[in-house]
Amino acid sequence: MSVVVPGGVLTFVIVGQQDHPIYEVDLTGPKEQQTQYLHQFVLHASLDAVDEAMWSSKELHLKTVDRFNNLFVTAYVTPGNARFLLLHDGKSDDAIRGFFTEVQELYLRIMLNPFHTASTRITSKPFDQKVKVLAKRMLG
Amino acid sequence: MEQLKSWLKERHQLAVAVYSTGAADAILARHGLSIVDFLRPLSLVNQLNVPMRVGEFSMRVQEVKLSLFAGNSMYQPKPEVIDEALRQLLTVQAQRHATLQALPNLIQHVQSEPPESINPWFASYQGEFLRLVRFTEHETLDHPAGGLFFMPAGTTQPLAVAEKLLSEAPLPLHTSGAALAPSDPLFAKHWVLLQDVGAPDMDDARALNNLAALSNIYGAANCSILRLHGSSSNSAAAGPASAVPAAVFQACRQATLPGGGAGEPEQRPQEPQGGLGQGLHPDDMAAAGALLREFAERSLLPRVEERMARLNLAVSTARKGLKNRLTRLWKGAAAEPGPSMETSYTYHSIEGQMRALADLAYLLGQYEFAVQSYRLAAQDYLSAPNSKWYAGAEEMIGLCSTLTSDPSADPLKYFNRAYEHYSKVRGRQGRMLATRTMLYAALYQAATGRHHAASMSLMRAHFDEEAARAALLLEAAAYCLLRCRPASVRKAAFHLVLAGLRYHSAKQKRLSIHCYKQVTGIYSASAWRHINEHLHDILGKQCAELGDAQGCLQHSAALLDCGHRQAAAQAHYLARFLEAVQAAGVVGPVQGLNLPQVVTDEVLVRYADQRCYSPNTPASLLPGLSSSSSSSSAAAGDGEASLAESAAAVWGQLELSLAGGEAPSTNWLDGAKQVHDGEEFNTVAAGEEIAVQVTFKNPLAIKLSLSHVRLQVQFTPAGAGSTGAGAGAAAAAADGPAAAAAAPKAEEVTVVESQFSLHPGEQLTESLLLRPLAAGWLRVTGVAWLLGGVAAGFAEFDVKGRKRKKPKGDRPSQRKHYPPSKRLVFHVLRGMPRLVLSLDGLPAEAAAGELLRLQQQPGRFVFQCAWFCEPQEPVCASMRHRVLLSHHSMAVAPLLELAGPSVSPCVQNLHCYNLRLQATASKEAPGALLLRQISCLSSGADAGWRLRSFSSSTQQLNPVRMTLEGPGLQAPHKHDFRAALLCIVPLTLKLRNCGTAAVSLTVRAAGAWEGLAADHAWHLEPGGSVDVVLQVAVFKPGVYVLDDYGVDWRCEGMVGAGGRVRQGSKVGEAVVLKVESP
Repeated sequence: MSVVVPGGVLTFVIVGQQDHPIYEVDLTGPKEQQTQYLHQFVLHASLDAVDEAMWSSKELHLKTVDRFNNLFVTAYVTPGNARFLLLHDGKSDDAIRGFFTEVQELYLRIMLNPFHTASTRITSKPFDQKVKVLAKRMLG
Repeated sequence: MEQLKSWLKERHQLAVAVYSTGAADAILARHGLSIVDFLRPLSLVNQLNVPMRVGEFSMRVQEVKLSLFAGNSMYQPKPEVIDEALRQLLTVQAQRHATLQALPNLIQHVQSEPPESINPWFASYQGEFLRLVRFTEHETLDHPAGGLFFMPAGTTQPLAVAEKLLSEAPLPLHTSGAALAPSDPLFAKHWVLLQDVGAPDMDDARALNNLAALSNIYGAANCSILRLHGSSSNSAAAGPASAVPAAVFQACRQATLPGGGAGEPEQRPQEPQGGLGQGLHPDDMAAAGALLREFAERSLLPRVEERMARLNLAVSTARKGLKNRLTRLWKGAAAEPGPSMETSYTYHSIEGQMRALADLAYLLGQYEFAVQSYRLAAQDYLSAPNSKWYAGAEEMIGLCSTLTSDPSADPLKYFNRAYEHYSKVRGRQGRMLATRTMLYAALYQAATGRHHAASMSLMRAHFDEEAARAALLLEAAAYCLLRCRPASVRKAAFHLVLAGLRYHSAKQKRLSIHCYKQVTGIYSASAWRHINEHLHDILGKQCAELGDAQGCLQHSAALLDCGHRQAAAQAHYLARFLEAVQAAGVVGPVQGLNLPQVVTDEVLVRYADQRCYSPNTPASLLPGLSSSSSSSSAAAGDGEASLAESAAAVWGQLELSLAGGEAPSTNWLDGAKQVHDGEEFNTVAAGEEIAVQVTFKNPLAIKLSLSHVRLQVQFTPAGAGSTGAGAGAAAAAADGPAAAAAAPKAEEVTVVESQFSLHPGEQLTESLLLRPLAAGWLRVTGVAWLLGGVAAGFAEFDVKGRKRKKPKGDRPSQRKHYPPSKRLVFHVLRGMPRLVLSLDGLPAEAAAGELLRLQQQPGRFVFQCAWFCEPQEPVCASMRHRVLLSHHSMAVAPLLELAGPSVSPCVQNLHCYNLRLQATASKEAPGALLLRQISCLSSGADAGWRLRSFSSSTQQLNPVRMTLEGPGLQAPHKHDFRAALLCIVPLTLKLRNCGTAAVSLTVRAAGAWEGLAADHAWHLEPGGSVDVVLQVAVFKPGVYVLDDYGVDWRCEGMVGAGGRVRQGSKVGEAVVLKVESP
């Protein structure tokens, strides 16, 4: 079973240490190859803006940090310096904030696993499923 | 910042048009120059002292630079022509400067070096672009403020020629009426009679007459004679000191365009052999310089001042003061802002005059006054609305703010406003002007150190631009980001990729590769797979187009890591890779080919000499050796007694010979270490197969076909050195690693190649074989394969041993232990005979608990002595078996013991022996059972027997076989239930003892079974059988499943290991009984 939000742009990435993505999910179903390229480039490029915004805010939720044409990148930084990035086309900030907070709960549970380090890829199926359900509920 | 200011001032100077007759042009064309080319090096007129009044400001002009253009070239070329010229320029620049390699330490390089050294093509392009978009109608900056009219001194009708020149002077720029017409008295005019002193028909008197005639009409101050002396023939003899270097003229020349325009003629005079300006004398230049000085001082500057005074008066009357403001307020409120008008204002309209006034003030360096005038004009343009003129005015305000050192001025605001309004102008010209504005903005911000904002301006400009220009802007924006501190590396990388893409679509392949190469260093360590895929995809394609087959191969190999893609894309990438391999024509393995994936750290070595899996087991079995041998050796020979006494000693000898006499242990049963040069090794005999099980994984969703899959080995012959590989190590120290061990020759090692396909996602463990043929040291280094019949791959084994918990020393052998199944170094002994065991009549599968009777009795194993390669010495014919010792090894197999092995000579063949083995498994287990080892000894001094493993099916041997027979099993049993309610069906259970001992049987039956036979015991001798009559009672017709019957058996007189009585039970198969009513 896959839960996807139809239409639009909604890609969620957790970036771990050394800028490696440890979890990626496209919440709006499969895309064309070129679009996938663009989305990753935009997300990767936004890390500079995240680094900048991180030091100018006391909040974990950094709001929209970067944009490219009509693609927005909203970021959230956990105290452990994992960066949650959401690529979207103009979703409400409150909904995204709620989504990020919920995802952090899930992320913490993953991190409680003693075998999971900050740079290990998250391959847990239940985590994936829960993120998708959260996205459908809060962003869909 | 000062650099930027002087650059901007340099760009805009008072424009002067040069008009000339064809005859005048011809005089200078002999030197390869046009009149403009000749005058341009002298265009800076300094050491002036001209008082001027600009509005309410007074100033003294001390130097003035003139922008000289041929009058007929002062118009803007068509946008298509501009783009084509720029494209050519970019191609040339790219060819000259762009490297196809990544710059080492890109970030430090960009931060420490000036921008021109990073992307020199951008500076060239920018300069040319700014030059070509000049001469627009709304910018009077480029409109000529005066004109120089050249005619030959020898003309017969000077006045007529002068009139004609003046009347033909209005050229494309003037047709719109936005520029001041040359016939206007405020247009500074100067008449020049060009005289070639060296010409044969030179007439000085006529020239003076002509000058007098012109002076009468136009005033003596506006007419002069320019005499060129240098073209006489003696100039060459005067030497280089009196010549003018060609570089003087060359530096002032700009590229010409097809169709002309942008201040340059369409065609230039042919260059003479001696270079530009050949034959001109420095005195000629001095004369021309004096001419320009006279023109500027006496004609141009006074006219400009007068013109500005008049313009200022007109503007003040119409637009300044309280009355005008109120009028404008009232009118402005009433006017509805409609769509932007596209027309231009004429020179005599008040809007045009305001702009002209502001531009003149700007050119004279009165920026404060210029800003006032531009602001005033901008209000008019905005309310009209006229986007182009408004944007032009705002752009100029921005430039003035840049040039003034007022810190409160923010040029960016004006540039952005100009950009917005230029963007509203239709056509490509508007787009170019908008881009120009953003270039100014970026230059200003870069000069003030705001690199991030500069990159934003460049990004803003690129969105609607054509591909090449957008790419240049993106690239420049990326370098701006790298100049920030800290550098925005990731954003810059993205911009460079976008630039690469745009260059690609603009067909600037070289620059595209340059951009992509720069980012590979930034993205190389990243795990963003789509990004990496895109980079390798594009770079691979571009390398292929540029003919760089190696680069193409490298990138297409990297693309094979595409497990996340769909099957079609994977197949496409694979096909591209195979093509690239063919194109590159590589010999040997492709570097970086990781398809299929090979598990290099886990291999399983199988070979014939598996003597010792667990050293303690055979050691514990050894005491029983002599007793079992004496009892079981039915055909005991001469050496039996001596063997029984010294079994251990013989074993030691055998082991010694098997190990080639080099094992440093006295007793292998204690777990001798086979260590050679610090590495544990295995011993094999020449001619025997070694199998290495290697695991291949297909990570893709497409089928992979592999051929020529073979092991890679190194071989050192036994005679090559005293200790084989030890000699190799010594050679390695002397000659480097290449000489350590050579690839084997065909007569030394035979490597068997295999071929197979890997299905999508399949993981396959393949047994790869090789056969050493000569004695020496053999090392298996890795595995090689051929993918798709084209691409050769190689994977080196990296087998890890078990780490010792408490290492005794630092040597590898002490630190790690490699079990024999993981050792990849083999000591190959010379060929020796080996026992071959052949098994006949064994079924491929047997049910657990079933006893099978095989035809051959008593033994069904045939031992044979065989050579596996050319025998090197005769074998004693009287070899005989003495002892058979066996033990098991395999964790999953049930514990097995072999009771009473008996060996008898084969009747037909004297070299063959029959062996009878009786195997009992302690518990039932499905799957194959591997009898790992049967060791044999022979008498005498002959070489040792070899050891051999074989496998068989597992089975718990059940001596009882049972079948159920009777009516109703094959055909329906008929019974008339109306006649008798109870139906009794008789069935026969046939039991047979297939075992070797007598068994006592008890038949159990419950449920529907009814009969005398129940719970009765029988006694069966070996081979005996008995029929037990059973009855089934049913009350209704129907189909009955008969189960729940069985036989308990117990062997009599047979006691198993540990004193256990061998007994068991067998449950009968379910049978179907059908009962019908007739």
